[in-house]
Amino acid sequence: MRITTKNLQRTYLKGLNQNIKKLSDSNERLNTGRRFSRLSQNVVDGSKALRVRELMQRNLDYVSNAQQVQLELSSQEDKIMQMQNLVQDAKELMIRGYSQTHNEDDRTIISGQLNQIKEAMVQIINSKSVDKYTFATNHNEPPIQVNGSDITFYGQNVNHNDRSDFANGAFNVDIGFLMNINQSAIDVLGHGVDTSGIPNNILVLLNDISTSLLTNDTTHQAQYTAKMDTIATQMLMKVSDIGMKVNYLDSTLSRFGDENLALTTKQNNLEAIDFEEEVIFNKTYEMAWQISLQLGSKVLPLSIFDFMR
Amino acid sequence: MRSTFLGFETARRGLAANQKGLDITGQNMTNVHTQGYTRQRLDLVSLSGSHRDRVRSMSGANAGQGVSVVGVSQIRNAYLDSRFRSEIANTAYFESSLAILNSTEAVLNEVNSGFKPYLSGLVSTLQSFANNPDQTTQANMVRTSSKSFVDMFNHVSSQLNQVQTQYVSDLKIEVNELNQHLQKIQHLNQSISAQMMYDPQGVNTTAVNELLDQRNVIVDELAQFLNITVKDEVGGSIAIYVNDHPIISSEISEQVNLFTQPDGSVRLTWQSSGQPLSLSAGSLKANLDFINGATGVNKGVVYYREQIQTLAKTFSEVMNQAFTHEDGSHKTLLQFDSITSLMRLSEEFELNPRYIISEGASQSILDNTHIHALIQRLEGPLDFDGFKGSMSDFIEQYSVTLAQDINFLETRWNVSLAVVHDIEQHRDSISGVSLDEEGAELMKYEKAYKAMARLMTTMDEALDTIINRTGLVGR
Repeated sequence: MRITTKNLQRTYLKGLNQNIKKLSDSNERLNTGRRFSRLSQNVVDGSKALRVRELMQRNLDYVSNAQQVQLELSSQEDKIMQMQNLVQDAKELMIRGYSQTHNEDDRTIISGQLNQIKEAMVQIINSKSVDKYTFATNHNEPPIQVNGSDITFYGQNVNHNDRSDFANGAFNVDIGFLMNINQSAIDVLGHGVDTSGIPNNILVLLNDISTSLLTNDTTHQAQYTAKMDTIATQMLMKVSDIGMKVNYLDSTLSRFGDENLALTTKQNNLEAIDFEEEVIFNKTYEMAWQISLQLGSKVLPLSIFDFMR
Repeated sequence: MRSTFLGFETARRGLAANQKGLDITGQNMTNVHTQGYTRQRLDLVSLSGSHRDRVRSMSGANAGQGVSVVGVSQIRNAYLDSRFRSEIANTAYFESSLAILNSTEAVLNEVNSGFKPYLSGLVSTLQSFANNPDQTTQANMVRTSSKSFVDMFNHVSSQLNQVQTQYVSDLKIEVNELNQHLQKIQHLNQSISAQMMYDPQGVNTTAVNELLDQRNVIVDELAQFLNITVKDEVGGSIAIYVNDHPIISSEISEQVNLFTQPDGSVRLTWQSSGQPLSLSAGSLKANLDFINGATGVNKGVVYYREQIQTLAKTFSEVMNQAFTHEDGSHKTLLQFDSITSLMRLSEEFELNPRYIISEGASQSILDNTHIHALIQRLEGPLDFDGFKGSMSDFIEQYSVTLAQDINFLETRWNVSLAVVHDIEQHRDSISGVSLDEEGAELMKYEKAYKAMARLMTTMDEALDTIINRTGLVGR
């Protein structure tokens, strides 16, 4: 084949362009830290990377929700423990009240203290954790209404025996699945009346005890004591139920953490460049480009005219 | 019998031919970098001295009359020209297609921005809202992220329109250039024909070599716009066809008209017939395919605009079905106008973020089931005018389609570039100037010129013998 001056120039420029393109692509990768900045540069890894990003974002949402559930459960636990302590205090007061060493004035004072404990419990049960009523199921209103001796849970008298007649809507939080974080005031405080006519609800019970102290009626002393123990135990059981949920959430959060780590590693493998490797490539491309330039300045102008006399 | 001064004439012709040789070598050297220049060659023939007829025979008497310059010809290969023009049309097609699709991908780029992050952002705020469905702050966050998605959509939609407008305007410039090229070729055809009037077979192109080069450069450029076939006509002109439609000949000079449609697409027609252009390669076909491309093989700007419109339509439907009034009727959160291809928040939602919070008696219940259902719908399978999958799948589907098309075209472009490079190398190998070769030619003609001068001296000396030194005996 006859080699002309244009042949030489075209081949040289093609090589030079290829070298500078490689250098420019490598510079872009080093600047961005990414193996590709458009999907068309790496369709397979690019589409996988988009999926991974999505999963990571979803994981972050679940972690945030799980952390909120943890706060919610922790608040439920704290408040039930406070009420359980109040039940213990009430029990001690009741025992003191029924004791024959106290006169009528003392019993009146103790009766008043029991009423204060009841009010404190109503305050706790009707309180909000952060922005929601802690024991309100899925309602947006305080769960317990006290109107004299009439105590109701969303309109239903707490002495009602059938649990299914009480409001019990679920409030779900998405942690990969929908977790019901509802804790009903009626389950914490108790409802209905037992076969002996003793109320299962602590607020009604405190009302009854308070009244019996004023009338110095000690007939149900033993049953009241037993009932208070039962309610206190029920509260502790609730706390232990919540504890189990908290433990489950802990392991869930730890799983999310592991998944996130795995996803981050995957994302790095898919998207991020190996800097050491890329820098070596970059230097190689730079050198190839410089050699091309030197070659151009030395080879191209040479022709027979450089040697003719 | 030979005439006395025949040798002088032979030497004179030799001097003139070699001087012309030096001129043509100089012409080649000075045009080494001239675009489209074809290497020229001095066509020399040895003059015949024999002559025989009925009356006399001059065989041998007039032999040795030297050399004659019959012309200056170009060294060119018509087959390589044809191959080059056919392949450069493919290269131009791939290059122009890639330009449009790359601009489209820059707008729809999911790696750096895109819809997915906005969709994820909306889902995150909905998760937060689901945990506090009565809070204005959370509802406001949902409104803000919905608005971000809407803004993103409107931005992408208008950017795609801009891409279309930009390439339509580029196409107008290309069509103008094409029409000018066609006129120039026609003018050059006429000039060449006029010069070659006395040599219609085109054997001697001495007078038109430079015009032929100019015409070849323009025809090569024309081949980038359209897939052309070039045929030589009698008288030095050429005829050009596009899929059998004549666009240039001694009688015809075609022009191309461009019409813009209301939807932003374009139509190209032949001026002579008003018929649309039927093209199989070239940048014009690329522009038609990818500015107008809505379905099928050529998924162009229109196709991707339709895809994001489908996305917007489905997204609006899903959002508008999520929240209900107390009477069960749906709340309109988003409004999508398929004619302007714009989406916006409804006035109620725009002015009042609490619009998505349950109202009246429902307010006493913290109901988030509809919000979780909305999240599930946004992340779950939907029907996008035939495509079944999540919103994310749908976005990925058209993004991957675009990326794969770009990849495919890039591969074919690179192959086509390599072929063009190869053909150009072959063409230059035949028609290009080699300075080394011209240097050698320079020495060759210079030496021959010196030899001719020596011949002249020898002849002079020989005649000197007969004129000045013969017949002097006895003087």
